[in-house]
Amino acid sequence: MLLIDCPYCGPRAEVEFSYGNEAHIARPLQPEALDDDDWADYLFMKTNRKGVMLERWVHSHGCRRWFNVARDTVTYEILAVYPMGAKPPKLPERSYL
Amino acid sequence: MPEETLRLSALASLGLAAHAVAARAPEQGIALRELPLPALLNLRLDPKETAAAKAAARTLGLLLPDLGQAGLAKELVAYRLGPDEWWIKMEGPAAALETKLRAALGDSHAAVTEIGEGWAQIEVSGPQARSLLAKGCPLDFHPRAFAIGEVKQSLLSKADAVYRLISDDDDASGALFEITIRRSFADYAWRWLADAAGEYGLAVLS
Repeated sequence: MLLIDCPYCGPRAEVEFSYGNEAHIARPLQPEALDDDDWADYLFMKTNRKGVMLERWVHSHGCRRWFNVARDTVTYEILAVYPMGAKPPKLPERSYL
Repeated sequence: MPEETLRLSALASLGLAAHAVAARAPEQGIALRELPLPALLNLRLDPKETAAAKAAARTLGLLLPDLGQAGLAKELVAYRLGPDEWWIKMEGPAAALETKLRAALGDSHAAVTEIGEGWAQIEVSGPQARSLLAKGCPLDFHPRAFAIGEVKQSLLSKADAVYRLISDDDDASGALFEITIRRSFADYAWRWLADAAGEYGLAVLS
């Protein structure tokens, strides 16, 4: 079980949260101009990084607010929690390759 | 809001009145009570907009509470549920306060919505209240982690719930929690609580 530090409610159990996949993916400014490949790339292709991943989470059974989490996908360690719209903090490089 | 006389308790189908008692016996660890249907207002505003926050606070007669806290004023309670969200619970109909709040907030970026119809409240008390809730909720219910006046949103088994600790005595009366639950989940929540309270001894209060 992860203990996720909601920026508004404090540390809470993972069961209260829902996962929102990779953070900081910009929606195309002109979606009508994209072809199917580019649109599929935007919708479905995530980096699925082995190491530190920037993710969105929502405290769905708590305050119902979205926020960003920097999580190591190997160790499950949560390195940072920061609000929506904020730039990710400087994090140490981690390589598992 | 429907006619007061037409409002039906969320737990009417359980027929609780038939086996309700006036007080919990000393050997019973838990007492459950259905609270009257709440009059609730949802207040949304950005506390950084100080003019709106001040206007709301003046109208309510209290300082808007901090995150995770409840604030008490004459005849109402304010619960902070998020960075820009509060609930106001009061006795009696909410329409008058709703009108007053809307007038006070004027054109500011804020919203006041009556939501009482969607929620039901159950009171859980007794020396085993913390142990009972810990069975169905990932929150820490230890007195060190959940103090009087705190409000926390979490789960009760599989239903969303808002917990407020109203009082806590070291003597035999134990802790008294108010649980606010979606009206359509009230039946489920009550049955879950009654079942989980079996090992402690359950009293249903009128």
